[in-house]
Amino acid sequence: MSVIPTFEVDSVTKVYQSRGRRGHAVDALRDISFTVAPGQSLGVVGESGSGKSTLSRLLLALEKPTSGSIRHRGEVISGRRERDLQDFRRRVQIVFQDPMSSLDPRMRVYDLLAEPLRALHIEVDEGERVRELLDSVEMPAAAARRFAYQFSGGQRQRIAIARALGPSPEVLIADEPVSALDVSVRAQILNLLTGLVQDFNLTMVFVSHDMAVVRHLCDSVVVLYRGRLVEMGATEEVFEHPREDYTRELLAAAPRLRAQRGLTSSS
Amino acid sequence: MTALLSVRGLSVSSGPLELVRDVSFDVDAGERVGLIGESGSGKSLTALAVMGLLGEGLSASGSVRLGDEELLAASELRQCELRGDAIAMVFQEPMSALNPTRRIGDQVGETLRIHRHLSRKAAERAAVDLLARVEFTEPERYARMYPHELSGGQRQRAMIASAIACDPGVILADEPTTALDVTVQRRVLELLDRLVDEEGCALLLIAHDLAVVSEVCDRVITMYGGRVVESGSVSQIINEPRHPYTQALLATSKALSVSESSLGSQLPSIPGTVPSAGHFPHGCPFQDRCDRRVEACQVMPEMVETGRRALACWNPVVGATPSSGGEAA
Repeated sequence: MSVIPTFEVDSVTKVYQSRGRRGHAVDALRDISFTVAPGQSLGVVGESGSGKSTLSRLLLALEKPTSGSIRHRGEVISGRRERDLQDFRRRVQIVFQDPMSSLDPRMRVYDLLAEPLRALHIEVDEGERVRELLDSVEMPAAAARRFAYQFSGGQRQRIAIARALGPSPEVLIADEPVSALDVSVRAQILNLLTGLVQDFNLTMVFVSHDMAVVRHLCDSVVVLYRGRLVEMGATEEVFEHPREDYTRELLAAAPRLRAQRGLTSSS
Repeated sequence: MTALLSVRGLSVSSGPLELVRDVSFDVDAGERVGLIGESGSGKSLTALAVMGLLGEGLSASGSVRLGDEELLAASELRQCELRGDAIAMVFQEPMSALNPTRRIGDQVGETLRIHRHLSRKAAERAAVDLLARVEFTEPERYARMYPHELSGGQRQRAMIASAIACDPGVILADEPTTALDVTVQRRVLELLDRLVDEEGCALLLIAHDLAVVSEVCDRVITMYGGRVVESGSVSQIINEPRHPYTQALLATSKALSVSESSLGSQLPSIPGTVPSAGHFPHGCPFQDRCDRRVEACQVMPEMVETGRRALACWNPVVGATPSSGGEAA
């Protein structure tokens, strides 16, 4: 029996054409193919300019590939009309890097969490659902009455995660969700994500430049470099036996605890 | 030898609120000292107080000595003379620390025009040399660019070029690599490391990532709630942290390692969050989040110094912890 993949990315290329007569084209992604199976946690690793954010926008059907196709549960999602994507929008949710810019500062937490439910016409007891959501991210019910800016960075990211969980998604796309956080708060949020993925049986695409975080959270990984997929495989395999020079370079550059000072040159 | 930078009993207040309390530390020439702690622990305020750059409404007391000179008592004019010359700072966000309307070469050379009274032309020539020293391959070309034309790592290197222009004795670097990609982060850290070697200056590196500090620094100072709670050599801090807060930071760093698998496991984390200023408990600031709390913690413990190691805790962690996560250099 074959399982229908959550995502099938097939030979996807994304070119951004800059405006103007002599505008040049930028290959954000070039001929990318991979699949994401249900229940998988896939890490997408790369640095600035690698195309990882473009990839997450394509997976969310916020943009359309220049060529190639992206299928979700067997159906092509790229280039579909928005009203045909309503079901997809419910099933696939995103958590962004910076909760301060992704959460409307003028809305109370209650409305931040209720808004996606209303927008997607999900019929639930709104108040009850908001309490449930806050509880699932270990926030007190009283938080609903306050504004996002009244919370710390880690708590704001909990609110952003609760908002994404509202429509009971099957897939969570997380774009650098812990990069802006302190080490100990980062650990709390990663623990929360680990628990949520297990409890709700989520499929996760986790976009990050932090190799240590990906190793902790993801069972497989794709490495992007300047818009190309340079390596992919099971996390353990890629981290223990990287095949590509670029992957090795990324691993070597990650800071490691040392009992004595010594920056080893990565070159 | 007397320390190049000597901070004694430094406090920073905003009205009746003490944001930094009784902070003392030394940094010698050629020494790299790391200052760690979570956001809100007072690291950046400490650095700004040392630089004399506290914002309006904030006041510093205590002593900050640079060589033989007391900085806190110095006039504003004298502080201006020293800032950028004898003591320089590298900020976390080069995009907001650099002026977007002025060319890189102009900004890097500005320090020399002000402190060495170089002509505009001479300063720009010197800026090109400085950009070459921080590893720009085409320094002339980059000198003519504006900050928005540079990548994050290039901007940070340009800011370092401007900081080292007058060969300062002390460099304060506040999370200089936090916003950068890992390979760029490594390059910037290696650059700072090399400059300290070459110039023999003192480096105070502020970071929340203990791994970064352990790679660059000789000594580590842990801050929490505006206070120094522990300090020691990197090997002491990594192999036998005594303060429960240092130990907790270390445990998280160890568990979240790029070289060890921890897939699906729960990471050790510190319960709760850092309170906002003014909401720390009386006594030890860490007691509410601490699993070694005892009755005595309601009173702030004295800082006890043993050699170059210092600790402020009533119930410190005893015995060496396994050093499995600390890789030998």
